[in-house]
Formats: sequence, C-alpha cells, structure tokens
Amino acid sequence: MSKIRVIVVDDHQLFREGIISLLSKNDDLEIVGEAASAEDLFGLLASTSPNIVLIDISMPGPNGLEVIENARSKYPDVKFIVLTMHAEGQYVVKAVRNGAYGYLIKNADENELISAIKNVADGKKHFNSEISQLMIGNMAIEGESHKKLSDREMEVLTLVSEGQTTKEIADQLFVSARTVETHRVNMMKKLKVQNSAELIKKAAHLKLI
Amino acid sequence: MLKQINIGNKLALIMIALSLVVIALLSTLFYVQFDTALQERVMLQLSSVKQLKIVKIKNELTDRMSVFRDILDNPADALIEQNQIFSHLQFYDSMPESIMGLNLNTSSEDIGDRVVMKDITPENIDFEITVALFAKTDDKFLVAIAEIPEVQDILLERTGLGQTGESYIVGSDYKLKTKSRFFTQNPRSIEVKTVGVLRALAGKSEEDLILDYRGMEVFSSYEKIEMSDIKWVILTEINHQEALFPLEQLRRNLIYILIIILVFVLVVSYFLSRMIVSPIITMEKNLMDMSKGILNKVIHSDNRQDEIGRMFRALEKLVIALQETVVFAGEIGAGNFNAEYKPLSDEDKMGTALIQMKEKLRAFKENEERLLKENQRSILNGEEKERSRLSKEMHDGLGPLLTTLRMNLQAADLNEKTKYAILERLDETIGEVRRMSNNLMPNVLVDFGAGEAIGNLLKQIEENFSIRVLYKNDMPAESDIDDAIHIALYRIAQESINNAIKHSKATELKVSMSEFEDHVGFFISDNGVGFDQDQSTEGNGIRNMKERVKLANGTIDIRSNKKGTTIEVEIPLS
Repeated sequence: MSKIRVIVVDDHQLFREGIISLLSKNDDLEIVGEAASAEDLFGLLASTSPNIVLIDISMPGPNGLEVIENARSKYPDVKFIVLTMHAEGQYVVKAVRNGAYGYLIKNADENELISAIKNVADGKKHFNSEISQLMIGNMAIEGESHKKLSDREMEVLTLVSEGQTTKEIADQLFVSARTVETHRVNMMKKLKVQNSAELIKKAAHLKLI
Repeated sequence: MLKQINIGNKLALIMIALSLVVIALLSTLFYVQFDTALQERVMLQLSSVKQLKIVKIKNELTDRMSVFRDILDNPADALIEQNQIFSHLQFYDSMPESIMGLNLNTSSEDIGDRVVMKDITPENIDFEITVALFAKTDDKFLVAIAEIPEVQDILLERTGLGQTGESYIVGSDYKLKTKSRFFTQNPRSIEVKTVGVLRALAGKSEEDLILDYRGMEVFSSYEKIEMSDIKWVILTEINHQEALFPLEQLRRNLIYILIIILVFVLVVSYFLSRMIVSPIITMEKNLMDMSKGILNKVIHSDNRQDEIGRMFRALEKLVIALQETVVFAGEIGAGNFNAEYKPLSDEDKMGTALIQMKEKLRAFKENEERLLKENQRSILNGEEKERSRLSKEMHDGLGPLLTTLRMNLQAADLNEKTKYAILERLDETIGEVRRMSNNLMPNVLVDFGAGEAIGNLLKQIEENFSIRVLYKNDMPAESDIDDAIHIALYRIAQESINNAIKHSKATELKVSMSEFEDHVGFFISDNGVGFDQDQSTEGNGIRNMKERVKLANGTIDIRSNKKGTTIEVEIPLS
C-alpha cells in the first residue's frame, strides 16, 4: 500500500514545521509539500498530486475555505482536511458545504490528526463529536429553501392564515410588529397581491399553506 | 427754537395765529367800511340840515324882500307893516349916510334900478342879523332896515346836530355873523377863515373833514348863500369826535369780541390740537417703546380711516411682524431650524437676513453634526479596527504559537502524567486566548456577519446562565451589508443582551434579526423586571446603544415596564 501523500498549508512556518515533524514520524504518511498561501498551494497541487491537504482557514489572500471550494472541481481527487483555530459551527458548516472531508481544531491530539488523515484517505469523512455538534447546531438555520418565500415569511404566512393578529404573530416569532408588517408587505409584493385576503388565497393556490 | 416746540403747541399756535389774522382782517375791513359809511351818513345829515336851514333863511330873507316890494308898490301900506317886519321904513329924498346910527355905506349908484338887500349886521351892536333894503322910486329912496332874529333861531335849531353840532353864518369878510355855540364873545371879533368858508366863497357846495375856527376837527357842510347883495357862507358842522363816536364804540366792541374770540380760539385750539396730537403722542410712545425693544400691542380704534388710522394699522402690522421676527429669531436661537418665516415684502432686509442666517446656521449645524458623527464614527471604527487587529493577533498569531508548542510538547519525551498535566494547562491557555480573541471581535462576525455572531453569543449565554434564549436569525448567509453595520448591530446586541442578563432577572430572552431590502431590524425582548426609562441614569449600556444607532442613522425604540423590556432597532441599508 502506497503512502498517503500530504501537503500542509499554513501561513505560520513554525506551525507547519511542527505538523510536518509530527506527521513525518508516521510511516504511512509522506509529506510532499508545504505552502504558506493559496497561491503556493495551487502550484504544488499540479506538480505533486497529493491525496490529502491539511489546510488552515485564516491566511493572507484567499482563505482556506475558498481554496477548498476552488480546488474541488479542478482536483476532485484531492481531499481537504481543515486544521484551524476556529471552533465555531459556522466555519464547520461552510467547510463541509465547500467540500472539506474533515475538520480539526489545532489543539487536536496527534492521534486524532493521524486517524483523521487515514480516514479521509480511505474516502471517509472525519468529524469528531465536538465538531459534529457544532455542525448540527448551525445546520438547523441553513435550511435549504428554493421556494418563493423565505422561511420566516412562510411562518408569518401560516400565522396570518390562522387569523392571528400582527401583535400575536410578533409575540410568537419574537420580532417587532413592524417587522411582521414588513414581512407581510414583502410577501404581498412577491406574490403580486393587494391585501391579506388575496395573499392567503394566492398562497393556498400555490399550495404554500 | 421752533423745532423744540411740540406738535400740539405748534398746532395751537398756528390756529391762534390764523384766527387772529382772519379776525384782524375782518375787523379792519369792517371798521373801515363802517367808518366810511358813518362819515357818509354824517355828511349827508349835515348836508340836509344845512339845506333845510338855507331854505328857511332864504325864506326869511325872501319874505322881507317881498314885503319891501309890496310897500314899494303900495306905499300906503308902509305904515302898517313898519313895526311888524322892519324896525325902520322910510322914504328919503337922498340916500342917507346912516339910519339909527347904523352906517349904510351905500350910494345911489350902488342901487341903480334894483331893489337891493344888504347885510348891515356888523353895524348892529346887538349882534342881531340885520339887513337893509333899498329901492329908488321916482326921486325918492325907500330904505328899510330889518333885524332878522329868526336867522339866529334857525341856526340855533340843533335838531340832528348832537352835542357838538352847530350852524353858523360867515360873511364874505370872514367874520362870524351869528353866535358861536362855544364862544360867548362878540361874533364879529371872531374871524372864520377856514377851508370851508374859502371853498364856499369859491362857489363850492360840499362836505368835508376840516378844522373849524376853533381849530377843532369837524365834519363840515358849507355853502354860499347869495341873495341880492348879501353874500354869506353857511356852515353846518359837528365835531369829528362826536360824529365818529359810534365808531369808537364799534372799536371797543370789536376789541371785546376779539378778546372773546381769542379766548375761545385758545381753548378750542388747545383741545383740538390735543385731540389731533394725542394719537401722535400714543404713537410716539409706541415707537419709543419699540426703539427700546418693547413690543406692546398697538391699541387704536379700528374705524379711523384717515392718515393716523392708517399709520396705526401700519404700526400694528410692524409690531406683529417684529414679534414674529422675534419669535423666529428665538426659534433660530433655540436651534429650531425648521421654524418658518415669511418675509414682509421683497425688500424685507431683516427678514431675508434672518432667513439667510437660519440657512447658514442650519448648514453650519448640519455640517457640525456631520463632522461630529464622522468623528465619532472614525473613533469607533478605529476602536473596532484595533479590537479586530488585536483579536486577529491573538487568534492567528498567538494561537498557532500555542498549538505549535502543544505539538512539540506532545512529541516531547516526558513522563506521561506530567505531559498530560501540562497539555491540559496549555489547552486551557489556548481556550482562554480564543475566548479573549472572541470577546474582542468574534471571527464569525467578520466572516459570517452579525446574525451568526449574535447567535453564537446567545449560545454562550444560554450555556452559562439560567435563561432560556429564543433566537431567530433571518439574515441571509451571504449578505453584502457593510461590515460597519454588522459590527454596530453586534455591539448593540451585546449591550442589550448584557443589560438583560445583568439587571432584568429575566428567565426568557427573545431575540431576532431580520434583514429586508432597505433595512436590518434587531429585536430583543425579555420578561424581566424592566427599568424606569425616565429615572434611569442611562448607564453606559443604553447610551452606547443609542450612540451606535445614531451613528448608523438608525432608529431605536426602548419600551420597558414591570413585565419586561423590549428594544427595537432599525438600521437603514444604503
């Protein structure tokens, strides 16, 4: 079985050196290159055809997440693992959406790092429980919606169709009455109707409610 | 000096002077006319009295003459008539020198064929008017002497002659023939060679104002009486003084009337001028007040339509306009640049200047506010930039160093137990650095916007405090809203969440972020104890929030009661 070819991308040289010395100890891994920026990486990708790229998010120039997105179509075989200080769900979700195979926080243990690389090299995705929690926490608000109306507008529409007053709706959705009114007006604009009655009729017709 | 007299007195003076002139003119005219008329009347009276006397005297003389002629025709009657009419009647053969001691001074040649009547009064020692009559018949001469006291009677008849009037006869020798009313001496010793006598002797019959034989000024009517050889002048005269006594009286009356009118005019002009001047004085007072900056309401009667009425209305308008100007200026002074002011006319320089001033001040104030805002914004931006820089340094600089250290530590040949103890410490340090960086400026705020960053903040709150948090984030994942607005919204959220946690004792916190085409809305509502908005010292929290909203040109609405607090913020996008 051939060694897993790894590139390390981080703008901190010290950190790169640390990681590289850590990974070099493992016989299954071969460090084929290191880069301090997106620009450097794209040069390496063509010449070294790596299996795995360990990449940081915060870098001068395009950040790691953008790099992943850009490289995905061009180098579909290269698998990216994010190795970052960012421990917020938003980054995780965005990394996943952009095509990352794994997400690690920089203070991860050596063992976890190695196993993550190996898992990803095997074609699996690696997100430990902590990262998964972060991801799930933020996935909820990332509901895919290609409908004509936004989620919030749908909520307002439903409540309006139940005959609730603006004040009641505002209380339930913990937004201001003005906001509810704005939603209502925006919906009427989107569905090209003149009043609330027509709005409900049209929404029912479109099977939105 | 005239300039120092006030208008009222001037008016009075003018009125008095005018009326004096008119009265004087009228009086003079009246006086002159009366004088003329009076003189004419006196002359006429004198003339008619004189005429009457002439007629009477002539009658007397003619009577004597006709009786003499009768005797001449019928000498037989002579004796009968003698004592009745003539004091002496006798035929003489030759002309006598004198009769009864009276010198006749007449020769037969003087007589001729005529019947002659001659004045021999000077010969009579009794001063009676005496005439001698002569006639020649055949060889004889008829001579008669007649005293005619009737003439004196006729002259003394004083009807129509008043106190000083007299009639007298003067002979061609300028001697007085009849008694003087004023001198008791022999009239013959009195020479009367006055203008009247001279003129009458020259054949004039007229009236005039002359000096009489006494040297008195008299009105005199004179005429010559000529009959046969008698050549007299009759004068009827009256003292000028007496004749014009009515004129004196008139003059006195006129003076009384003048004085009465003068007093009347004085009084009337005083009140009249006061009446005319009093509104002017009122106006003067108003104007004086105005010059001192006192703008009292102008009191006047509306029904006055003359110049003064119009003047008052103009003044009233001026006062109202000035009051408006004052109000306007006050408004500007108080900083109300929306105050409206309509210039009084196109030439209202002050109004135009005030409006210009207002515009300038408004521009100045707006500029100042803009500068202040920009200034505060740049201070805030600088602060945020610094926080961001620090946060990045810690996160991207210190963080990797610590993680590198951790890797080195992991690889180090150390006692396992010690290694893990140190690793644990190190992880805590890394966590602390991350927390600090996050506190300064969350990475998520920069990379994912306020909606996500506030969500993270609320997650931490929910984990660390016993409060239920409900959060709705309607900010789209990809938002092109300006970073400054994201930061402002995040800071506002931070402050309001902090306040809710620290002070409200709330158990539930509802937060939402909504993005619309033209604005972003932030809403937070807790079920805590609220705070008194009026009494609140507006701790830095609320003041900072308001400041942030203002700098972002947004609106903030804070409502608080015992059931909780609700804050709504809207930041416009553009």
